[in-house]
Amino acid sequence: MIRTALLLSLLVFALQTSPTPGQAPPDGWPTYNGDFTGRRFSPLTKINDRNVKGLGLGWSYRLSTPGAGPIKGTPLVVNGIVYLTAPDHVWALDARTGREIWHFENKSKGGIHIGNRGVGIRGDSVFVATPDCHLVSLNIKDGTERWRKTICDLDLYYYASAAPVIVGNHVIAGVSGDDLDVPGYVQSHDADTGEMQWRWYVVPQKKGDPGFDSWPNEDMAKHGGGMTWQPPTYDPELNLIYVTTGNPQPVVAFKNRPGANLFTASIVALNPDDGKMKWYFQSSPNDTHDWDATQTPVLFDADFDGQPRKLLAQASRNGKFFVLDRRDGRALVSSDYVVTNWSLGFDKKGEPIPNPAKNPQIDGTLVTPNQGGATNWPPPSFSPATGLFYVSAAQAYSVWYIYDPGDNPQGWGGTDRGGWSQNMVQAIDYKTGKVRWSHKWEGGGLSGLLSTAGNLLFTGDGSSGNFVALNATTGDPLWHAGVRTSVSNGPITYTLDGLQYVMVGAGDTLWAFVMNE
Amino acid sequence: MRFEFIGVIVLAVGVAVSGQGRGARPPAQPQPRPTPASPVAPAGQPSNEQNDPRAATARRLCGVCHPFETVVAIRRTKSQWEATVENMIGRGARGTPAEFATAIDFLSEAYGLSGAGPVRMAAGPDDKPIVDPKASEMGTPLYGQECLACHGADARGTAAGPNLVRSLTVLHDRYGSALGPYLRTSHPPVPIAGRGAAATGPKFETLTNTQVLLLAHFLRDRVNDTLRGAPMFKPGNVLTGDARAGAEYFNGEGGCASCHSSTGDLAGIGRRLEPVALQQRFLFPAAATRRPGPNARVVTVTVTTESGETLSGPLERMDDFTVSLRDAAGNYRSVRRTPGTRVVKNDPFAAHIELLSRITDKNIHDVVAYLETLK
Repeated sequence: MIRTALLLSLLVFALQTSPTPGQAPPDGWPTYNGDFTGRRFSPLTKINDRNVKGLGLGWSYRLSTPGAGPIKGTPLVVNGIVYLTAPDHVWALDARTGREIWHFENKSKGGIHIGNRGVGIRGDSVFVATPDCHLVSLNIKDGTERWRKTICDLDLYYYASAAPVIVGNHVIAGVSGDDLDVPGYVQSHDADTGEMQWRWYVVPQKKGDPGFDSWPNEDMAKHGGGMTWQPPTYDPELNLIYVTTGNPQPVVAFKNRPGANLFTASIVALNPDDGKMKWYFQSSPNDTHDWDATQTPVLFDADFDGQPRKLLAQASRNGKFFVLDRRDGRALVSSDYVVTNWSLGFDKKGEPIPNPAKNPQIDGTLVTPNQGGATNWPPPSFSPATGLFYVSAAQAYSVWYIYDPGDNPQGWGGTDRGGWSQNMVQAIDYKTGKVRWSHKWEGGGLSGLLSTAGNLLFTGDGSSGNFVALNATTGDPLWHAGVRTSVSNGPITYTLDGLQYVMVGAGDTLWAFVMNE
Repeated sequence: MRFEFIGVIVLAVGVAVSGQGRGARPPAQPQPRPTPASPVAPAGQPSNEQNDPRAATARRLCGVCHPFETVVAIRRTKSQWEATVENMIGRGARGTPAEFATAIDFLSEAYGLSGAGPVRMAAGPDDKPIVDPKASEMGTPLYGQECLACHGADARGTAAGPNLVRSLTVLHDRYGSALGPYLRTSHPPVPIAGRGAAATGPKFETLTNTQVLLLAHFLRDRVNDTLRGAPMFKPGNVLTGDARAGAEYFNGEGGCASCHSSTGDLAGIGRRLEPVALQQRFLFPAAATRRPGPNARVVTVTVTTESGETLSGPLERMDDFTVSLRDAAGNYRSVRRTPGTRVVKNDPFAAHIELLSRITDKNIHDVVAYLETLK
């Protein structure tokens, strides 16, 4: 009876939502998020809440280069082949067996090798960014190099880690790194030739540029940071990419950058053909806690206040949840998805108002979230079947200190220290921004999420080292498999030969689970 | 974004290594420096991965989230390793206090920095310049004489001259390769103090190669000063509270006195710990209290199985599906968590965790001031 009621409610909800532009077919996972929307929701139901207990291991693959992992990227699956990455590496694997087909290794000149988020694929080309600031095009058949372009300056301590996103003939690449005070940007390259088509700077590069008034002077503005760590999402109907931007520089010592520091810690809508900005929404005005706002801007079409709307939702690193109208960036919902103590509510635009007392202090101030944030890069998920936005979250406290008390700090100038954290999955009702259910983990750490029409939510339970399936409606644990270490990426699912697979990375191993029914 | 991170999360780790040689390239792989024999490494051997049983513990704790090679790519002082481990515990690293203590001991011996060696934790190219601290020090008076008036003591610029820490010439430089030609041929004429803008001195054609090298080291040192983990970045004065108000909070609203006593367990705590350590330890005891000992506090658990058996003891591991503990006889017991299994966890630091959501910054500073008086 309960199940019937649940199915009915899911059906009713499904009727209220319409297919979101940019969704992909279920027989693969052809982009970082599976499709352009960033929802990481699969319509597949072969594996579902009734039979998930029978999910078993199909195969596993351990990275052939020791020390290259952990797997922090999302593998892509196209035409029965898995494309897996680690910094400086791409592997092509048989999706039926895990057998290695080819392996590309970049001869590195440096850069931080902390993670690579994955490849982009267009036709017979595979695109990957390397830590030493290159965007590389590979032949999908054998992994041989077609072209490579320098996208950032290693001497300025940039590096590259984001998965390229392909929109038409545009290969869109972001940049990483927040050591020195340098500007973030996102740029587009011709998929065939590699030539740069446009670059959009996150922070004003000269007086009079948009957002300039939110900085004290040109020098601070043009060195103001705002890295583009994560792949954008895309709405083909509106022809807008949604780019998310990182924290301002100097990171923690904030004295010499009063103002909102646009367009750092923001969600911006750009035209993918020319890189021109249409609108922005700043998730963290004048951030002082390293809370980049680069969490996935998830796109879905659903009812809001009784009207069908084109929506964008983000659970931001600062602990705030936003639902925007993605046509114009107007905020419809602003809320807290964990307890936060650093803001004085929201302004009329729906942006948080920072509490100056919770900026880092010489003698320390206790802040939640901590530097790692209420969430971080592990991808969230939105299920149109449940209407819930799922995020891997932390209620985390730490003390923030200013180390450089001077008037002109550079770089970092402070940090947080110590702490306590409780990790959990938060399921947020997009209509209200309220947490519908919360499932706490004993283990620490964040993992990516995948929801399916089978009423399942796949994720990891942190350092407990299990890959877990939760009931997507209630959060109850239904299934787990010990994968030895933390789930380190976002799980994916696809069908092959009529069988549904669920794939996840944990440490240096990729695990493919399959329902053999 | 750290904190992979972390944060990464990208986390506060990079791939650079410390500057330890004159202009030497950073080694491609971490090369443990020789250290005195540790109590657990074979006598006369340096502590490293091959011969130190503690390595496995460190590798396991850190390896849950990071490639171990990334963790140890940057050498750190012992106190920096301690702070790093505390941070990681705060971000969810799980292990016993003894395991964390073991990891810190190993990391500070095998991947430590002794004495005055600078920590230059940085990203950037493999061939980035490594600062020789002695050369930087020798460059200081030269900088003071030739550059400071316009570019400022910290090289971050003044109204008279640009910021050199952000200078592309400096950032692209390799031991004077870009700096030398620029200074000798392109640097604008420098006004002679007190004689108006028209009166300019000579350009820097006469700088010797050695002088250029010293300036290059000095300037790279100033760039490194801005990076997270820079040695100059230390907490300032945290003793800003009111000790009397702190005592009131301790004995009243804070509820501290229900477990602690200024003349008992906390007697002399202000003598034993620095103020910032006091602050960290009372807020985050689970992260900051790592040392095992007779009074070590561990999480315990009581499990009532479906069959009605009750097990109790120190928690080994727990997730949604299994719980394991050491029973009263010291045996390892593992229990599947079924709907009929009852689990009660007892965290000795629960009162500290509860405090986090209600304590104010004023309370924190007052309590630190009070604890500091307990000499």
